[in-house]
Amino acid sequence: MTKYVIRRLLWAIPVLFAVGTVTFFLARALPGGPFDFAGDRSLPESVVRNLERKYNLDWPLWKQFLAYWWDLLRGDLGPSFRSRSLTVNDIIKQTFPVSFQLGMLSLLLGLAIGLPAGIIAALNHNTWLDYTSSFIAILGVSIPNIVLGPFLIWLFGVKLGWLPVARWGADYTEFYLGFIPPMTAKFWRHAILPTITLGTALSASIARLTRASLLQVIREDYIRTARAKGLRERSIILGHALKNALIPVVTILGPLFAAVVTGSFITEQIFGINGLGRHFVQSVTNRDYPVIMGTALLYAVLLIIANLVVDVLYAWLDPRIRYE
Amino acid sequence: MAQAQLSGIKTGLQADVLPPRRHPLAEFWRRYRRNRLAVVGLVIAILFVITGVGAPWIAPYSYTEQNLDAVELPPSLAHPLGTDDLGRDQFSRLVWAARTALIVAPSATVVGVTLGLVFGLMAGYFGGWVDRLIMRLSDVLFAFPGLLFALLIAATLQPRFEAWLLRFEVTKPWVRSGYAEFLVVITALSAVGWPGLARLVRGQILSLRREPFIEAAEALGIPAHRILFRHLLPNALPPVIVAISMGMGGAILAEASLSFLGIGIQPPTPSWGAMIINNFQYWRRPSAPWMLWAPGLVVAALVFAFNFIGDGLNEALNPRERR
Repeated sequence: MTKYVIRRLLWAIPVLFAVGTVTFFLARALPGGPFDFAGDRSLPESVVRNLERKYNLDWPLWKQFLAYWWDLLRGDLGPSFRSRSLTVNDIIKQTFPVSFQLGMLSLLLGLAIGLPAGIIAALNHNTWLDYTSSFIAILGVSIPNIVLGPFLIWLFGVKLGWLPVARWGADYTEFYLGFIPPMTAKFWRHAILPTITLGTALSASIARLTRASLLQVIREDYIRTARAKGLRERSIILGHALKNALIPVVTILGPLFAAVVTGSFITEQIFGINGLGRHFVQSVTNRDYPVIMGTALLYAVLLIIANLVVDVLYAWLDPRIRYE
Repeated sequence: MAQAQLSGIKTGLQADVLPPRRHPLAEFWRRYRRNRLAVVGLVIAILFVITGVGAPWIAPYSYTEQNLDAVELPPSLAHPLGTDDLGRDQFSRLVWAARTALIVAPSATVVGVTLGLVFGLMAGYFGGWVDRLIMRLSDVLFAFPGLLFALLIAATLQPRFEAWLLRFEVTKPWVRSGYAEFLVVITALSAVGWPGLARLVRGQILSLRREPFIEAAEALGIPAHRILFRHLLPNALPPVIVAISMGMGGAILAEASLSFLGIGIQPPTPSWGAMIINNFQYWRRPSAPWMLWAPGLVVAALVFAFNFIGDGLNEALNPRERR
């Protein structure tokens, strides 16, 4: 197992290099440059030249490419061309915790609603409870966050005026351990709507999968054996059925995590959250090369780690799986 | 005499014991129909296709026609969904956006699926370095969040595609009419879409390869391409068909999301995602909620429809689901 994890981590290095290389050249192939505009006005030719010289953009591309990796190896992700007082490291330090909080809260919401809903539906198979929760689940899967987010803003922000609809993470605060926010009322009021926006589809797909998987497990012989032994229903479900039913659920946590990342671009855009996803989208529009590179690489690291954790969990839940 | 008896027994058997024979398509439809929501989904999908194809006849106005005396109107008889900030009829834009989605989503799905099928088949059947190369490539793409990659590709390709299309007389008008953007978005979405499907197909092929009928075909000396396309592909197809249906909903949503982020289909070509982002920033307008709900509901309904079609197909095609 340890060997397997080490091998996977070693394999991550060329994958990251490939992601970085593709991103580097795609970003440089974008039309225009980072210093074409200051606000609405275009900058004079000579100023652009000077700025380009300052950030080594006048070097040949291969030299810039090598310089980027050299800096990266020393932990320096470069300056931001647009927010010139900040480095990419600063931006990540300030915005990644906010995106992380959003993603984690949504995943927690997804599990907190999805698992019980799926279990209740499966245990009451073919009753109104099952039909209602399954129907709500498919509705939840189908509502895109570009629709749900604006709807929630309209209802709770504009019509009812209960909750703030933007500027989560706008005032930078120090986070505990780098990512745990202070649990103030203000934080939660800002977090509710974006979390629901991103978490609804997650809880719905977790509920659907849990239901299908538990239904299959309940029909197995070993559950019948457990019943025949006279075990209490509670311990049959919790002790025997659930752990096996969760295996397929764990396997989709990897893709779900990727979905959270993708969804966070949109959710952060909708709610004006000062998160990493919004910075990525803006950096593409601004041609802010170091920010594009930094965020893409960070996302790649996260996805690789998430997939590895899922595979390890998978082996732990199902002893039949052995990685050599 | 004996023969007559034998055939008599045979027909007797068919009449009494075997279930009535149906055409495979009829059988498929019988299974599919049992899932009522899947039928609803199919109806929604058909309406979508009709709207997209018939946009010029269904839409009361052109999608670019402006009436600056009628800006930001709430719904009325003349404008069922009101007008936007440039005085364009929202209902017409909604209808024309169906054509955008109808061009982009199926093309992106077809290209993505074809790539996924070809790579998945090759990886699963040939194994060895072909398999390793394709899987490593998909590893890299899996480490890229899909929308991020699509965004970068779309933004990079846009001017190149347009410059290239402008070089030919035939394709010149495409740039002005916005078809160039369609090509850009289709390319971006299909480049992102194939790895998941390739892995699915590869897994299918790997498990099918161990089946005796493939071994038999190989023992008979049937050439590889024939085994691939005549024996492996048809058997690997059912889960792929389900994935295609789900992928259609995903592609519609991805197109809307790209336009939502401002990269993708550019104005004035209508897109549901762009309509949502344009309208949701201006809550105080009398026309605001309508302009937002209409495209939102349409996108949600279509994703919903294709999810259910996928469910229905799964029940109809998957032998393990047979009841």
